[in-house]
Amino acid sequence: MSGAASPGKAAVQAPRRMTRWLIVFGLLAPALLLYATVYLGGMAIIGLASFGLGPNAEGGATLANYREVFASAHIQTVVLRTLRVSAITVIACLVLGFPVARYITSPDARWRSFVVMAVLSPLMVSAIGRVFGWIALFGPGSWVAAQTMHFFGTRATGLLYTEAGVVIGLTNILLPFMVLSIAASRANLDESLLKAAASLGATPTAVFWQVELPLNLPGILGGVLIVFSLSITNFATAALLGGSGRDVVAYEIYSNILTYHQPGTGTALAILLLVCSVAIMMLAIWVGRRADAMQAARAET
Amino acid sequence: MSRVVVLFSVVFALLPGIIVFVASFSAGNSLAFPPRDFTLHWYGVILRDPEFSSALLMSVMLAGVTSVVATAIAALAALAINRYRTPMTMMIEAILLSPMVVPHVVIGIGILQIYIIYGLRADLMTLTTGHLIVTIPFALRLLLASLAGLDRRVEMAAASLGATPFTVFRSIVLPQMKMGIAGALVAAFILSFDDVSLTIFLVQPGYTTIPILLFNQAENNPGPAIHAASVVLLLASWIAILLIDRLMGFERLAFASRK
Repeated sequence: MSGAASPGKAAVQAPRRMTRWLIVFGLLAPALLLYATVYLGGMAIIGLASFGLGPNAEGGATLANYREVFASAHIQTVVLRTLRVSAITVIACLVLGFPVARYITSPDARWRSFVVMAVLSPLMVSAIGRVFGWIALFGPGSWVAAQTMHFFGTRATGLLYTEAGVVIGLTNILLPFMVLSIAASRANLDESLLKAAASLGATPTAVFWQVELPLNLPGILGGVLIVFSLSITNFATAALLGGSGRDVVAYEIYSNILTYHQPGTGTALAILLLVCSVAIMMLAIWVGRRADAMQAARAET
Repeated sequence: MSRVVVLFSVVFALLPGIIVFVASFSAGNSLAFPPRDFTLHWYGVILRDPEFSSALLMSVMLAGVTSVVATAIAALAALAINRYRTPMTMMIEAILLSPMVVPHVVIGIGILQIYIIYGLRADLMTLTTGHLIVTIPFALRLLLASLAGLDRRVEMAAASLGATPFTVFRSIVLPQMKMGIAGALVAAFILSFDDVSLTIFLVQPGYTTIPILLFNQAENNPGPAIHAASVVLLLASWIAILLIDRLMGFERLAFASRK
């Protein structure tokens, strides 16, 4: 087609492009409208409220709420407890999740579909329903409570209302995320590299630490970040297994807002939790993309 | 050694559900495990409890409406995002998926603030609106995954043979989306049916769901009937898992809905 015909063509295409954009926005409109009004709008209000601004606020912007969050000894304890519990949960998920991911990605796994179904089921099986299983298992009067009292000198409530109980509950619901992350990174793992290392005389331990683990590092790192982020934001499991006086950050936000009517510190803490968890998740996504790109590059060579 | 850890993980993953199931038949008046005698008494108790049955009705209606509306909204958005890949639609996709990485507690407070400003009280509509925000991302993920496998050349062939855009959509695109739609419906239902951390900000006395009822009872005085109620939730989730496994393979859903 010659250059002379293009003005006419553009004139035909302009309305067509208009209709196309109308269709696109028509399809996206319900979702966008919903998100803009309650979700983005709601978060904007929390953000404003945390700086002392918003519909019912008096006075100008202030950092007082954030200053209070950082100055409060109580909140400091809660944050430290949340970080400690989350860090141990991450380690527990990694220790259990790596062998599981290795098993379900190995070619000769006979019980593969059963293991996948069982270990990944917590993704969908009611978290609140399972919490009562732990409460029954650990709680006062149970066999486990009798043993922990006998051997570890715990109180009559056993592991219930202890940080160990919270870690067990969190590990139970977050293990699937670790397994999925590592399994996804293993899906493209070149098994011949492990065989090559072994045939060159590396001991099984050396193969694991020097070849297998480095190749799985992106999946492990992604899993660690995701589990940590979900762990510091967990509400129901940590609240029920931790009990009163052993609050985590999410429960602290909830009780500040709904029970103690201190929306100032509640919203400031919510914004801080939001920033941390989103930053960690973004890092996890970035790690995943980097790993994909590296794998693509390796495949090309 | 590695196999031992795998076996341990399987038992560990299933353990709390099994314990709740066994404990729900416990004849004793305590929550302790293992139970000494067995009975169906607690199932009778929860069935006769008006608070439980109204919460169950609310949960089922909420999850039902949420799953249908979330899937519909997500399906429209997925079509737009799949067909027109521009920087603009890619940014919109990121925004629509973002509730997956935002803590539910924060989403809950935000929605509560909006409802307070507009004077909205807890009812089926306001609870559904809240649940849509946390279920649409998962529905969208699954639907985008089902659309990604679509071969555009088939549609072009149909169109060049004279099929109208509507016919192309009905006879080529829609059948391909079927699995994604089914997966999205089940996943959205179960996410909505189980949610605590968002719902707890939106409920009011008289408008409560089963998970919230259980959460509040656990904080106050848990009786053994709580196990029978938990079993109801666990059974619903396992039915959903088996249904999804039949429809599209549970593993595929797990990987597709991965964070």
